[in-house]
Amino acid sequence: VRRVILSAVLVIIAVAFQLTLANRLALPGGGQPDLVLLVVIGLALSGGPAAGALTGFAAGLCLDLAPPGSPLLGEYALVLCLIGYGCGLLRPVVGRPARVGPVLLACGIIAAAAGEALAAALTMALSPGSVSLAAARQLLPAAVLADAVAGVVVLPLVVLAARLADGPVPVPDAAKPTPAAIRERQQASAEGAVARPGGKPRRGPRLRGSHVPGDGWIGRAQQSGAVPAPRAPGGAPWLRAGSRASWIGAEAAAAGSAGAPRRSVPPVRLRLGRGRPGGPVPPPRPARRAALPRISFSAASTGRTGLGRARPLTPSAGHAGGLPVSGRLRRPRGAALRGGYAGGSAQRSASASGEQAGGFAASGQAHRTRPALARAGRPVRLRSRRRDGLVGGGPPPPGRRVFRRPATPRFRARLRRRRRPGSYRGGAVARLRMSRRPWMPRWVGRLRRDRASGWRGTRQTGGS
Amino acid sequence: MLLGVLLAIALGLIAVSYTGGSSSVVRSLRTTAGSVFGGLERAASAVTGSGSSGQVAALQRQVIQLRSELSQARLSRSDYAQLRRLLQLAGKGGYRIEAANVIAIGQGGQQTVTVDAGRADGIRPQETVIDGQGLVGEVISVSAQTATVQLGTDSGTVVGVRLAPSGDVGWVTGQGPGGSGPGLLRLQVLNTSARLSQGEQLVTTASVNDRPYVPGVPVGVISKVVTNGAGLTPVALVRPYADYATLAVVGIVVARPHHNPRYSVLPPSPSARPTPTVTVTVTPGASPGATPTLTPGG
Repeated sequence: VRRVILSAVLVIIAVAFQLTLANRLALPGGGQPDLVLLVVIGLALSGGPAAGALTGFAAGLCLDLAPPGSPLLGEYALVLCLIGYGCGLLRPVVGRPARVGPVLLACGIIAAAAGEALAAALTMALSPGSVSLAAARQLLPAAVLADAVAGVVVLPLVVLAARLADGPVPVPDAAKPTPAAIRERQQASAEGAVARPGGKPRRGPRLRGSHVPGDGWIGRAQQSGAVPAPRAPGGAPWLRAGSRASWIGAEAAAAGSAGAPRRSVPPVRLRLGRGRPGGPVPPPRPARRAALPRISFSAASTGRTGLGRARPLTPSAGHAGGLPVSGRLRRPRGAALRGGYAGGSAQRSASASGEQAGGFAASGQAHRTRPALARAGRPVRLRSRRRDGLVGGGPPPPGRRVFRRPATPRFRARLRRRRRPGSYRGGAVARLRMSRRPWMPRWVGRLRRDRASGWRGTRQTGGS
Repeated sequence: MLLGVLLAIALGLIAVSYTGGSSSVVRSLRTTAGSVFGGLERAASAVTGSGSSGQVAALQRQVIQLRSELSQARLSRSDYAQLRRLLQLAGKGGYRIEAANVIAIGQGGQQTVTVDAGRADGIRPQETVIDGQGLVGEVISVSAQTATVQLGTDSGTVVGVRLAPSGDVGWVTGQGPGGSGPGLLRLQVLNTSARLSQGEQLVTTASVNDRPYVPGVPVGVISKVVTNGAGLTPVALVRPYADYATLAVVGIVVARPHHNPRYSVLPPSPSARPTPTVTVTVTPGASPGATPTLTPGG
């Protein structure tokens, strides 16, 4: 919410100053800095594609509407929306939170140049004659230069403000590794969690139910929760959106120590998708399938759960990924896990039977430590759309070919269709995203609840 | 997905405003945004000090009452000078004007500005906008507190003009940003046998019902002749009198003059002024000590 307010304030200030001040500047060459463009670029670089597109659209619409306005409504909205989206895609380049530095400036200036060119092209296409080609060719470099000069000042300010609005990154474990955490991490790493080659502890990746506070998550155990008890092997993982205490891919280090004293459970390093060049270890390619690895979790059984019915605490469904409960893999009923890793202990499982299946099923089971809340009993099927990678997988098995190309994994959580009338809308499709959407207010998440499972993960892996 | 939706909306808006520029949805959007952003721009403009919006309202009262009190108003010196020239021009032509400050300048290709006078000040669309030197443009849209002016340099502007000495009729169009020669207008004359020459002055001719352009406003002076005669439409580039780079105080002509001022508002033409030529006359039979007589001629 703070992010939304910040974006709105910055955009309105930028529009006002753009029209009253910046366009008045008579710089040599006729170029004028486009403050709105720069602000959109800065917000998108630190906010991601969706936030960037939305911010850009809103800012462009303001610019179109504010007097004197542009003759064609939507012209700048189109340009800035595209630029915002593109800059959002560049977010991994500048880091997260965005680092102020030459990379940021370079990205910003390139984007500004692209934006100016796009705006000029659109103007020429839509209202031919208003700007001649020669004039555009003469004005464009000057405008880009002015943008570059202004961007040196504006971009860092916007990015810093966005960082302030986002608040501190809530990863205490990765930020300050205690000896115990390091030990656990090492153990987790040995169990199959992905370690970063550089050895530098980074933020633990999490697939997390994000906008709804009650959502479960993938890849991280609850901090305050007890170490979940392992369950008999073979169950299919439960992925439950909205139930407070279900998760997948919980702490791998807790594996062998079900009876261990309670402690805060450090995050498991989960990975989704392929690694980036120079980044963490990329996942292996599935043995059989030429297709990209896919993951789908299916609910074990729908009969056992009912909507709104609080169920007693049973470890009926354990982790997917976290607990190396068993070394065995099993294809869950329904849409099985295909061609991907699920679970931090997948490494160990991999050798068991995953390869025959062209991948792995979840190695553990989703676990529920509390009666689920209002959304209990919604089996959710997580299905990848394409290019999905590991969930909590391990380093690639030796001899496997690895991908070098970065990819954006996309997940889709699908409610399993049920026959029982009135229980909920079956077949709704929810998207799993890899990116957080901090700008989305909470009530939007609530609205989306019946579509279930706003699971999202953060990027990258961690580990040391 | 989100991107797709947003792009679709943007394209839809473009399409709506492209086909029917006066769709009611678009108009109401613009009106709302105009009142919101117009106020914002007035405030921002006052903060940035580029205009003095609050003072103009007070000034207008003073202008109507007593011109001599102008100097007491706390106008910046340049604004004061511009306003004085504006009033002189308006007085010469018999135009009744509403003074306003330029508070915002358009973005991108089109050449438009926003001024801080609107419907509340009696401004209506299609009124002529002038400054102390000459024609600035035309009011194209009006909100409650602000109005949008399309400048003469916009490529969509067409102004009917009359050449000062010859009386030839033609029209000038803007060339957009950074056309051939920054800020120059393009003149075309109807009479194909007309001979254009550098330094000729242009005034507006009367539009139908004097809208959007009242007659007699100085437009500019021919700075370069492109084609001349020989069966072709004579074309020339015109340097406008108004300084579009430093627009600050403008006047919107709210009532047309009672009679056509014709060329009376024009500044003295450089070519019409008699150039002094020096003739040295030496009488052969005169005494050597006689002083040569200087005879101004021309």
